[in-house]
Amino acid sequence: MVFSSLSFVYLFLPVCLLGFFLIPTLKAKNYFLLAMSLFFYAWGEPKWILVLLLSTVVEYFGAILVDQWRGTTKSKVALGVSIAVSLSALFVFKYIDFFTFNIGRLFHADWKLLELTLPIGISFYTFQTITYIVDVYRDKAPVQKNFGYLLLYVSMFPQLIAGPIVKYNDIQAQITDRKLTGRGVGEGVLRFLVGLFKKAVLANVAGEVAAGFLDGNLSTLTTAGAWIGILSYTFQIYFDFSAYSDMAIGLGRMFGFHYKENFNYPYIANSITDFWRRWHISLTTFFREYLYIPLGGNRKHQVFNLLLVWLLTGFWHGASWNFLAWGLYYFVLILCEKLFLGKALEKVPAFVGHVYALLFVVLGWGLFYYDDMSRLRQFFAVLFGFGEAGAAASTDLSVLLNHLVFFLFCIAASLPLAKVIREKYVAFGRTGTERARAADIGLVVFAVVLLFIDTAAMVGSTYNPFLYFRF
Amino acid sequence: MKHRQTDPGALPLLRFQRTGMVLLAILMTVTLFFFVFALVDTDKTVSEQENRKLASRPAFSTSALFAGEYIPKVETYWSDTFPLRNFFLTVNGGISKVTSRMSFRSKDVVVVQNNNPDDFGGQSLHEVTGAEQPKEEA
Repeated sequence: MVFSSLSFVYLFLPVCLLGFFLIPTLKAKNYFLLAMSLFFYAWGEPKWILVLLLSTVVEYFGAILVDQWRGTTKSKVALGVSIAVSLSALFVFKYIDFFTFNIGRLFHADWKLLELTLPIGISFYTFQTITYIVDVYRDKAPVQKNFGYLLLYVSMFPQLIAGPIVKYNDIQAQITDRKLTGRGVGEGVLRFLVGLFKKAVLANVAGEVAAGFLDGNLSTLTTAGAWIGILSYTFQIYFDFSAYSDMAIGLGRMFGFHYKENFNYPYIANSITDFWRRWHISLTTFFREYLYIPLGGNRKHQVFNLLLVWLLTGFWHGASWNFLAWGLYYFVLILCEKLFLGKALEKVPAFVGHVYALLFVVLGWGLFYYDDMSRLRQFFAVLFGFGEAGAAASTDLSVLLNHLVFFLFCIAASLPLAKVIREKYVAFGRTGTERARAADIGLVVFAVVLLFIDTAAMVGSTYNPFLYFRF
Repeated sequence: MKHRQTDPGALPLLRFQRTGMVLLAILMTVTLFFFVFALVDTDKTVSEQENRKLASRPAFSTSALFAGEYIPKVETYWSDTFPLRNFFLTVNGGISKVTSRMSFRSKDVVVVQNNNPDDFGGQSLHEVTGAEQPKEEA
């Protein structure tokens, strides 16, 4: 189930909210959330929900053994085996065909591929189960003897499908000890509605423009069209992904959970290193804490550690060469910044850093977009002016002008304007009771307007006209 | 109430607890209302706006469920028979006019009324699609 769908907002959510807020005790609320989360997952994945369950069972028993054998080698073995089992599931469903195909090609063989459909969210929940057992091993979190609570952590529907990757250590206390306040729940509602707007309006429109240029025949794509397309995609992927995090965080808050932020206005970064402190923060945090640092971090064979982390960061996004290339691309840039570029950027005006970062991020999205290597090559040729269709066409300008207001809004929405507006709004509300009341009423009106627009946009996305052509 | 933090970004956005409860109540009421309305009203069978038959309630079977066919049908049925669908489509048309200066957008189709220039922000159909100018019918 996709958050930005009528089935979620008007079928699943009302039942979920009603049940959750009618149920009196926290324990019962938790079990209700667990049931709803499993239903939510099964809705999109009726068969492979078994993988989620089995993965959790393995980590559940694994962690108990890790704790029981604490201080011995057996504890390490239990840790290793549990992680290996979870990662194998991820490997089989996501990566095995990639390796079968490519190794087969190496031996000029045409081996049969499994062609398994990827269970939704497996890339996210696998990492979450790993944080659980590692946090127990490191004694950062107590063993969760209640299987239901562990399953709730793994399958919690706000973050199951598209993150953020919530570390067990960050959430375990909140399962049994969290407060539901009017303000907290209300902020969750607002956050969810804003996220829904970003997805249903901003990301979807940007996506249509991007697809219009990037998905078609690349030999008729002009250089201007390629740039408009990839810039639209730059907006699409940010609004799409950050919207999911907004909705996840908002939903979490409605149920009393505080998730950490996953995005921090990445497009204002002044270097690639800075960009990655702002983009998909939970993923980089995961790789840093659970791979980079255990490998030795910057103390032992740093370059190798960085290379492995970045290759895996790329590969995590998809089982294809372009994602590996994308990871490698950022490894090179970050290494350069660590060695000399970072210091050089400190000496130049800030806007140079911003332009540099944005340029390489946008080019990176080109690598990310095409998993077909021949189309990828063709696209970059067009992007740098070596395409067949020339520099620009009148349709490029028309599309740009038709979406001018939209793109200006996207630029504004990518800047931390919302943060500034929020601070001013909060400050205004604190200058007196009447103003506070007005400010709060304003937020309620804002929420109603958003819900209205969001609903129209969701209905609009299901618009599916049939045209009859006469031949 | 004294605030220990001076960082304005850390202060809660909502001033009163009650506002939060109102927001939750609005979300719950609106979504529940549409949920119940959708369940009890008679389903429309045809959309004139889209020139097609609307999805009807799909029949459940465990084989269809595990084959991944049942749920997509339910989702299509839910959106096809959503209350006030035509009204929301019209509102979305207005939103589209702001974002893309086109009345209706879908993945492959734009609806044209008499090849009205306003439908494409001032261009004609063939300028937008690159298709050949259709022959004039007598």
